[in-house]
Amino acid sequence: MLEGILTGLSAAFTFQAIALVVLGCIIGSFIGMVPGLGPMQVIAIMIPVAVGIGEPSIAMIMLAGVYYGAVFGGSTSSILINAPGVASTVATSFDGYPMARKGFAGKALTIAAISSFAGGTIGALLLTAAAKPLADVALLFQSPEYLAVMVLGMTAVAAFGERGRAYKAVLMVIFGMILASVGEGSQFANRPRFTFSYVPLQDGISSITLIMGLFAVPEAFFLILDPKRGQYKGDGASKEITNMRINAKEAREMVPVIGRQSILGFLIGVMPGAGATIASLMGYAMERNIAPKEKREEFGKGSLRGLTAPETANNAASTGSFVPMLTLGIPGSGTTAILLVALISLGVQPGPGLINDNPEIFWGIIISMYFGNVVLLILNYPLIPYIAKLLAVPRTFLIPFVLFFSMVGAYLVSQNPAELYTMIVLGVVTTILRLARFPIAPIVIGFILGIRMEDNLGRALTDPDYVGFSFIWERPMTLAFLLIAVAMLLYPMIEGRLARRERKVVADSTMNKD
Amino acid sequence: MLKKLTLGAAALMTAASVASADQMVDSVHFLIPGGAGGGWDGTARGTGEALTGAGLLGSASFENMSGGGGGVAIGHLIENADSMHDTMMVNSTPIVIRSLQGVFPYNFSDLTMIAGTIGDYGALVVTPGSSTSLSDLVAAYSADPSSIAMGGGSVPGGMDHLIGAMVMNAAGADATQIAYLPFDAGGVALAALLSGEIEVLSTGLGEALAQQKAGEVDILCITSDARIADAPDVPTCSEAGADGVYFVNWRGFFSSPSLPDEKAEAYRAMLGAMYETPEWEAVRARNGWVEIFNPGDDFVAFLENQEQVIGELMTSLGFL
Amino acid sequence: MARLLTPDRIIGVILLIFSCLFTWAAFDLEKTIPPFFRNQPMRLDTLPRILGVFSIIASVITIISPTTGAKRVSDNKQLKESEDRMADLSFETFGQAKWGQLCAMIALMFVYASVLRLGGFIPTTFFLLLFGSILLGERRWIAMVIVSLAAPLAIWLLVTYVLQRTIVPLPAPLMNLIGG
Repeated sequence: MLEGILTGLSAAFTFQAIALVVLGCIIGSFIGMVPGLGPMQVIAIMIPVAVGIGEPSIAMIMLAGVYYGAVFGGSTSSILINAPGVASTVATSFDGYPMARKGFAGKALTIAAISSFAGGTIGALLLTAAAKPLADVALLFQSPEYLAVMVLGMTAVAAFGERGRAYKAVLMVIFGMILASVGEGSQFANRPRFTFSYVPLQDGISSITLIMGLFAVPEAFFLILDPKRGQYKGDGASKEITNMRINAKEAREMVPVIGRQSILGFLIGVMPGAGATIASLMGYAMERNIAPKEKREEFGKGSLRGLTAPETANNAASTGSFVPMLTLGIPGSGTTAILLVALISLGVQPGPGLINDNPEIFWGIIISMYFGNVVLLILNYPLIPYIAKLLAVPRTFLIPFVLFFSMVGAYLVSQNPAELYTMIVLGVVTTILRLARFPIAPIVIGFILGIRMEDNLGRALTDPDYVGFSFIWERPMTLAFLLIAVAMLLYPMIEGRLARRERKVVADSTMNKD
Repeated sequence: MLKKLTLGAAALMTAASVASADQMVDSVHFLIPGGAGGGWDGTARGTGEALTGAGLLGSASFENMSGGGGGVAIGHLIENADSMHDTMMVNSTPIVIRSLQGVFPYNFSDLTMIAGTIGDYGALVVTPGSSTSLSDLVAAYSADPSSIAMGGGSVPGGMDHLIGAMVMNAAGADATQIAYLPFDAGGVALAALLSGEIEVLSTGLGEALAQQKAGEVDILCITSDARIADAPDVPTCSEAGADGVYFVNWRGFFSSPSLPDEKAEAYRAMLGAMYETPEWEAVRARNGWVEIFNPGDDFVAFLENQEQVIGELMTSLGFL
Repeated sequence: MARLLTPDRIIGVILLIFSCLFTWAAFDLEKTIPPFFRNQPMRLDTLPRILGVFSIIASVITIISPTTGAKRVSDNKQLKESEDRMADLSFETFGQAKWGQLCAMIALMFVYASVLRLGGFIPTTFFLLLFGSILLGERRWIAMVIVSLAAPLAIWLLVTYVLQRTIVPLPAPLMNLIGG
């Protein structure tokens, strides 16, 4: 093992490798900012270049740079203009964007960069330590467990329920799941649903179109409607935007979140059917539900924890998804599927034999993760103030640019103007819903998790091993996850009720005055 | 990024300017009916890369147009037929299945069929040691139908389900009673096989071979008409007891319905010449593709036959 | 005194109509299911039916719920202040909003989407960004022209040379002229 690590290290510290990883990071960061072009697309594009390099460990080091760059690029657009280009950064925008709009763009980007770095690095440490035993854990999971994990992810919705108006959030989740059921997105939709014989709808609403239509477009609309929106009036406002300082108190708040979420995110990434999107939503849900009451209220409005959690979890999960890929040859995500193709093209067959037959490549890949993470942090840290300045661009330029940027993302993926019409319509509908104070994030959560829940539920019901829903009690892990989900939903309610009872005495005396 | 940009530009320039003696077509615009990174995308880009690399084709451009499971791109090709004579669209077996299901308003015969170029056979795989042969599996199923769940990478009633049902039917099991669990990616389906969620997996031979080499699965049989060189120990399904089963998942190219014949022939000749080049061999080996060159009228006859066979099977299973 | 016609209820009624239509469509899906799949435990209309019923229930709850007492209680002063700054417009502050600008922008986006294929990526995007800035009140012409030209050009270069995908840059007649 040690020998393998040393071989990996010696491959990483060559001039060629360093130049390639820097180049990869820069390319990744830029392309990753364009909505619709996430890590998977960027790596797909870079495969011919990687194969051209010929040396597997160096090619992987470059791809690691591209990969981490693209992940960071995606977070940047979520935070600055509420345009999460891929599903795995949706949760980042929940709190990253409000924080940036409040005038702390530099800080938000710094938190994202640090959390990503920490999540990726701790993930790589876990991978170094326990890839082999974890591979067996990955195979304990079957459709019923995945279903339960998705239900757990759904509890994130609780963060968006207005007190006494939780049904509005529930209604929005269902609305999101309804949108997801259009077309043939689910494995069980073997005929198009709700397309009204309109061919472009057959594939369903693409997630990039939906996310842009729900987040970026309506946000730009609100910026048009209300010129004073989210603008800092106080002096020193422009200094605040580029200020990257995180004080000791905030750092102390981040550390436990990073600790929990890097481990949890990593484990979710290890499961072949889950991945970074689920990990980020679950991480967000968990941190929100276990936070102390006054911190819980900040979620969705620029919470430090709400930004740290998904950023840590999605990077840790991306790293975790290498476990089944390297040790079993099973790609658990789109990105690792493409990396698998790259490795096979380079003459490496990932699988149980890899760690013994080609230790230098196995460890080279893991070393490349540490390397990619460090280089990205070094490269991007000094750039953050300049990137954050984007928010200081006059609104007359910023708004048309944001709208163009959202549309080009959806158009690039499909080359189909029908996507743009769908996006504009979704933008208008969302604007109306927001005016009436309906929460929007639950729609996306319902949309993202809806299809996956349908697939996993369908498989569990079809499996002849179970009678109807008997998998719930026949599989202990499924039952455990479901119970945790129920507990997560009930805990804030019970806690809230207790707190209200205490406050009631005070409240009663003030109410009598009205 | 600048470096990459100039590199890219330089690559384009060389591809355009090296007019080698045996260049057969000036330029082709590849229309890809799905997104980046999918099977169609890889086929079109790989083919384009080999053709330009070998100098058979002057320049290649690529356009991804997803939507409607490929229907949007087909519609585009039909609507703009006269202005798209330099376009070749990649497609594969699902175009036949989806037309039969009636979810496409079009059929392959609405287009000019250039050639089938590569293929993949179906394979049934199990975890090592669980069943030693297809007849074992059928026996286990007959003894206790609820003990067997079959998985695959297509929707219920889609290609992997069809292949699995076809083999099981021919081997004497009632395929309509076998539980089929769909998975959205080959990797996740494999994980389900290894975790014991499914007992048998219907998948493509290319994927199955890679897993077999890694020692993770046994291949029960493949849907080819003869054993293949890469895996001489694996029986065909006919040999294994599923008599008469033959299925190839082809990928090939189509063009505008109003394409002049001489242009279509030029494309076919170019694709035919491609197989001899080392550039193609590099791309083919990288992707593990099986060559099935099937130009012009052969392609038409092949597709019509496939449509009939699949149609009958789907009707008899109740999939239509 | 609680108002009868609140934003919640208006949206609730619209969503109720939508839910009813959806539920009807979900139950109507059955005729598209081939015989084999009718007896499967999970059919393509299983989840839509469940969703339809639940969406009707949730819409009805939204409509009948009492309208008073939904004031947020927050002890966190700093949070409250920042929340106010980020708060969406409400129905009360409707009058001051720039509705004209918004409608013009939406119209502009629709026009962009419909001429994008025909007019080519670079010129149509140029006009989108230019008119977008103009209608928001920008009058720094030189800056506008430069930005509106640079943005589509940069994206086009990125897409064409780095990503190697095709987006048609110029209108079709122009493309033919330069032999593209």
